[in-house]
Amino acid sequence: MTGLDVRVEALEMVYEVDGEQVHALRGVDLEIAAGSSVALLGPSGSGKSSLLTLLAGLQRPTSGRALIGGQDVSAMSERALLALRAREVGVVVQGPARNLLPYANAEDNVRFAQRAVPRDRRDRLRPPADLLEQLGLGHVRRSRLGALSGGEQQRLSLAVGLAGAPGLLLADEPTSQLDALNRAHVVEMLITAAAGGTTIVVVTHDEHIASQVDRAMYLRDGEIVS
Amino acid sequence: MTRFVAARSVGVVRAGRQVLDDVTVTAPAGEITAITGVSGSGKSTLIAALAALEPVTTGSIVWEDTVVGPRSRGLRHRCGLVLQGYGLVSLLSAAENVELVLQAQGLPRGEVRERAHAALVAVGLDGTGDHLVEQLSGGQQQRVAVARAVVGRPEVLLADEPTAELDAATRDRVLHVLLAEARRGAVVVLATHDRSVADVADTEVVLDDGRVLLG
Amino acid sequence: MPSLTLALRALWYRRGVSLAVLLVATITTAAAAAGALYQRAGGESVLRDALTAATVSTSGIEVTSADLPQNDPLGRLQKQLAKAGPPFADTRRVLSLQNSLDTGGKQGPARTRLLWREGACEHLRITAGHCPTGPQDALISTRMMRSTGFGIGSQITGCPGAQTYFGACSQPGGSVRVRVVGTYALPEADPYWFDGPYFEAHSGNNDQPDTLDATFLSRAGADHLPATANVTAVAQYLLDPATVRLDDEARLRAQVTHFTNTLEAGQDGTRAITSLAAVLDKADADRRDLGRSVLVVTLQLVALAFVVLRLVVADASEARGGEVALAKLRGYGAGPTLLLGLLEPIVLLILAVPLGLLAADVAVRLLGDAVLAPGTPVVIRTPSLLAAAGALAGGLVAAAYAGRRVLTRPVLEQWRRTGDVQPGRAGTVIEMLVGMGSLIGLVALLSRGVLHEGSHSALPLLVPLLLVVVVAVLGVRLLPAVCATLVRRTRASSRLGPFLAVRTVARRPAGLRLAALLAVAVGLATFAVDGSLVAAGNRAERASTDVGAAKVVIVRTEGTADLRRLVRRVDPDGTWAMAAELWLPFGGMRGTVLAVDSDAFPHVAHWRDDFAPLSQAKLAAAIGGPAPSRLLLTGDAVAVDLTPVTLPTPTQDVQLLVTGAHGQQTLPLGELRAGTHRYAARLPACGAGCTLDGIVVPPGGQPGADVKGALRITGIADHRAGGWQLLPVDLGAPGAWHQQLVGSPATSEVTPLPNGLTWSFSVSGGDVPVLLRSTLPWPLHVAAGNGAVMDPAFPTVANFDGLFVPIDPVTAVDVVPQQGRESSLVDLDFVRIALPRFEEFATQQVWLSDAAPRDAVERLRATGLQIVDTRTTTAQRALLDRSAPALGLLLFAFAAAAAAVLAAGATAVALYLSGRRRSFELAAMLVVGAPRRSLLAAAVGEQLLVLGTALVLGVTGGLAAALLVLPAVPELPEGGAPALRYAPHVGGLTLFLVVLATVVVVTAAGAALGLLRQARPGLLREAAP
Repeated sequence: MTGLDVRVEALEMVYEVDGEQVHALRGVDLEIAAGSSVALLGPSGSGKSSLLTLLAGLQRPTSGRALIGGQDVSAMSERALLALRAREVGVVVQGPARNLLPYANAEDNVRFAQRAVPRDRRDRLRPPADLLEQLGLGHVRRSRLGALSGGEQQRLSLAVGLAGAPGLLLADEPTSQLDALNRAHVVEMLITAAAGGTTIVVVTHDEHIASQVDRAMYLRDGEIVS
Repeated sequence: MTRFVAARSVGVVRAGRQVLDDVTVTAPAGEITAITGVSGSGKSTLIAALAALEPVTTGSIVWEDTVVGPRSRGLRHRCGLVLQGYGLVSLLSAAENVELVLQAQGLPRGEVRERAHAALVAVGLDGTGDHLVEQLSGGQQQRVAVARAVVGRPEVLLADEPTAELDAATRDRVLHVLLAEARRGAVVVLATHDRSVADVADTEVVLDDGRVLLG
Repeated sequence: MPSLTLALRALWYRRGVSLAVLLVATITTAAAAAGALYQRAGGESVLRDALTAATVSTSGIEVTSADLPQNDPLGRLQKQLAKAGPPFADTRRVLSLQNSLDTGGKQGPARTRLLWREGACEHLRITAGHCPTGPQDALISTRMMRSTGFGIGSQITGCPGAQTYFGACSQPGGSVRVRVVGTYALPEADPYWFDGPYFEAHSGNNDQPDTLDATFLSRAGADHLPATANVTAVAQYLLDPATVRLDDEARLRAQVTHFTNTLEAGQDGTRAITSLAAVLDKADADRRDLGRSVLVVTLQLVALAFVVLRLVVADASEARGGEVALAKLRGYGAGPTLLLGLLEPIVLLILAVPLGLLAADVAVRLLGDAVLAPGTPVVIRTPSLLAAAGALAGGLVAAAYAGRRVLTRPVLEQWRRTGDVQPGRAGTVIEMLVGMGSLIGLVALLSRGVLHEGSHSALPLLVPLLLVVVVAVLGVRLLPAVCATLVRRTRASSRLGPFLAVRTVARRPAGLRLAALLAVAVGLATFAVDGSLVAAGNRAERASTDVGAAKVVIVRTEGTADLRRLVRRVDPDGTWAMAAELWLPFGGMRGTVLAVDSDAFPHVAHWRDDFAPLSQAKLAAAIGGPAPSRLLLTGDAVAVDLTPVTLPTPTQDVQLLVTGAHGQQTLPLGELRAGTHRYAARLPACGAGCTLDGIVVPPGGQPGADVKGALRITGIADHRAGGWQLLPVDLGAPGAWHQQLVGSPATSEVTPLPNGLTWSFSVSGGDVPVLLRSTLPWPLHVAAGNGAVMDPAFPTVANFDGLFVPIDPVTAVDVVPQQGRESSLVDLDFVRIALPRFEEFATQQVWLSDAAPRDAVERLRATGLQIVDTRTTTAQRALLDRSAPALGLLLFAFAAAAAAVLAAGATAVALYLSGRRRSFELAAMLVVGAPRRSLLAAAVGEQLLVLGTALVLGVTGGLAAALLVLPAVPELPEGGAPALRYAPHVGGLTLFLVVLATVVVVTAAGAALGLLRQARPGLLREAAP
């Protein structure tokens, strides 16, 4: 697995709410080497989630560029963005409900993610059962989603994000609802993925994660402060 | 007035998980008690338990000399609440959300409108009262929730992350309002992971993995 | 790629919404398919009824060919028939040979029909003797036996067919001689007889012999009629209505045409007569009417169903928004995402096709069993399949339209959604377009004059939908506007119920579209309920009027039995049975005359207050009423006080007509003298009582002379106990006396005096002036139909013997039960007196009311009455209930019911989808101290506001539609009486409204309670929906 490098140049994001301009990002510059892991920290509203969705290509910046593996996601066509996410970028957003099909079991959820991957790469992916086994979810691979605990659902979300063996994993608060044991599991998953070459960008409140990744960056009011 | 609100050896098990474990906390009137800890440490659950929204598995929640729970009656008029997700009524305008508290107490129209307006001004929302909640930003909604919590001059004010989405200036304004409530003699309990908020508090209780780490 | 199993699991996961989509799609498909199915089944039913209602001889074919017996006419006819082939697939044929025989009986010349008919004896009850076998054998009716005096062993001689001059054969050797070997009883109604005039017996008049029942011969007998007798060979083909389906119709027509053409092509005078084509044409016209109604109704229902389908499919595809966003997040391309978004609705829509067809089949079958002609087939055919396919295509379009919004929505926007589906601008535009379109359509229809009474068009059935749509769409728009003004007024009020209810309605107009839909459904239902009830009332009225009473039995009496007396034997008080005789006068009056037992008439006959200006009881009293009292004589002599005002010429004598134990006799009173004198005569043997019938002024010694004169009668006395006793009667009572009618021109005047009367008379041509004591109110009282009296200056009615009897049209009658317009009513007893033997030409009936005992018909039979046929209001009602117009309306009612189900389904889906958000809000309000009671009041209030508005709008629109449209909607087969009524059915509507209001209140309260029960404060701990 070859990771993708991430470069962000003067990224600005301004929303308009009720005639009031809200600056989510105020000119962020960032460089993440391929295969490294980065934690984005900061209070709610500091812009870290906005940064993540911009990298995922889910919205377009007001100005500036975001490059993943040298490709400018802020200027790509929708179709190219879809292809990029299918082939290269795993995204784990906040809340298991947004990451998982509610009516499918764990294995089917992983399979659903893998089916999006182009055929040439799909054949080399780990079978869902193996993947779940490795992530400590082997015992629930056939369980309905509703039967999984919150922690298991959150871990499954991360597993699904990693199912396509992406070059870049973007994860938003992957541990927010977890107890210590589950949190440790998740961190281990991230570390393992990073060790496999995947570049990791994780938004978190969790100092523990921050201490385990290669680099931790703090945002406040749309700017990187450290 | 309620002289204190307390959790006594409270344990909460939700979905098989021990969210709170033997937590004992007492929040006295006239002070701000801050509950801090990382995400998932049980701050929100403790606030909900103190607000008698969440049933406790073991132990008890006590308001002064009364054990309370989700089935207790007559608590709502005594208590102001700010919840994560704000618990606002999206059907109503910002002002109406605030007024609702006073309307429910059966106050006369004029007083209802005056006090609601004052509360909104206090949190810095003088111009947005007539907007429907759905039209407000997250930060504005949060401030509406704070205004609503304080407008009824509650004896107990419980707030879960009341400043999470606010910028520094607004946060100070909201903190000022909360502080004023404590000075008025209310029991004020805040859950926060924001250091600057915790620093304002008279007492800080640190939770970790559902247990009281410090406090 | 999302797999099918995943799609199925998703369906199950969202089973609430899935079920709603499936239900609505099924109803849509069923509605479309059922229209075609119903039209077909209804058409079959209409055809079957038309064929069943037609008489055997109308729907069948009669082939006749006349020839001399030695030419074997029947054999020749059979050859021709063989060549023409059978006219029907399943042919029942009766062959016969016939001629008539003029002979003489007790009463003088008489004519009987000589008949050989294949299998006749199997259809006759032989009362004595046996079936004719030999060439000389004859079988006669018991009635003929009685009237002619012939009996078993009697020889009947006469001349066959039209060769006679009363008994004498015009050709030598042409006479027929047969011997009676058996007698038969007159048969009851039986298609075998092909409506033939075989059992008719009545007096002849002037130059015509009496008519007798048919005389049956053996085949050999028919073949051996004299060589000069022209014999008619007849073949009658009976059509079994049960064997004819719509599919067979064209073939049937072709076959019959071929058959008749082939037979009539020969130059031998063979005739084939049938009215089958006319019967089929009428059925076709009815079916086309039904088809138009079905099309109009079905289109409406399908349109409505499609609107609902679009709503629920939109909801269902909104529910999949999260997964579509997830697919995009994972980088799925457009194709698979599309499939993910649409696979579920597509699966449901496809599943709805067989389900809808099944539902349509079941519904139409049930409906068919309930109302259509028994045995009507219901078969799914191409049109139903095409309709179902159309519904599927429509559903797919709706799904694609709804899916497009979800599929093109950016992922972040999807996540931000509150789950509250607000009506998009496109939806509002469509809604306004629908409203405007309906308005334009309504105006166009109304201005084109679609709504005229008695219209044949199905377009009036379109008006209710258009009208209620306009009312609903516009009315519902007003609701948020009204609530918006109330928003300010309720601001900061401590009454939380109205405060919240008003805001929900004003700010969440999503529910209003539903309310509009509900209003449309309620409007249609109101129209349908009122229309159905009004039409059902009219049909019941028509059925009762058609039949005349709950049950009418067609009977036959033999001889001159008094039907009224026979009936009174089973029902002495005339409270449940009524004798009635129907005939067509020979002159003087137009239309039929119904003679009834006027005492029983108010108890038995159906009546509506607009049938006549008088009430039923008053009308009965007017035509009936007491007859003038009889002049009863019990002494040993009788005397009349007479004064000749003008001495009669050329007569001198005066006589009395008196009836006693020995019958009527004439008592001479002696010669008339000028001045007032008492003329007396001895009364022979009147100790037991005699009646004075009249006074005769015979022409004396000059028979044939004209007689003129005037007499004043001032008293009639009875000689008893040695003295004269004046009879205590009012001699001058109006109508108490009248001059006997004579064939020659005569004038007469009876003028009442305070103490008697003056009779002036003038007769000629050998007739004798007779002043009769009336035995009925004279002249005959008649309730005359419109234009029934031909000469209002001299109202009369003619008897078969050419006598014109004066009548007194005492009142008018607009509608006569059973006979409808242009018919008149008289009293049966009086008409029997006034028009002697009229019943020989009348149809005799016994009318039975609802109060009649179960075995009433058996009791009638036991009196010796022969029962020919029975008609009941119930059967007639059933027939009318499945006439083409009724079937159209019925479908409308069912469509309205389906619409209501659809609206309810849509409401349920909307509540289900918004439930979580609402519960969350309620929890939020509970937590800030809003009392549960106020929140319940608010929730109930909101539901009531929306549902109540829908209800009020719907009922208003529906009622307006009913008042406007009903007169133009075909309800009954054309013609007939009485006039239809369209006044709203208050009772039914009230009940409907109460039920509807209850449902609305219960629904509102139930939904509100359900939401509130869900509203636990703990909900707030979960993410806001």
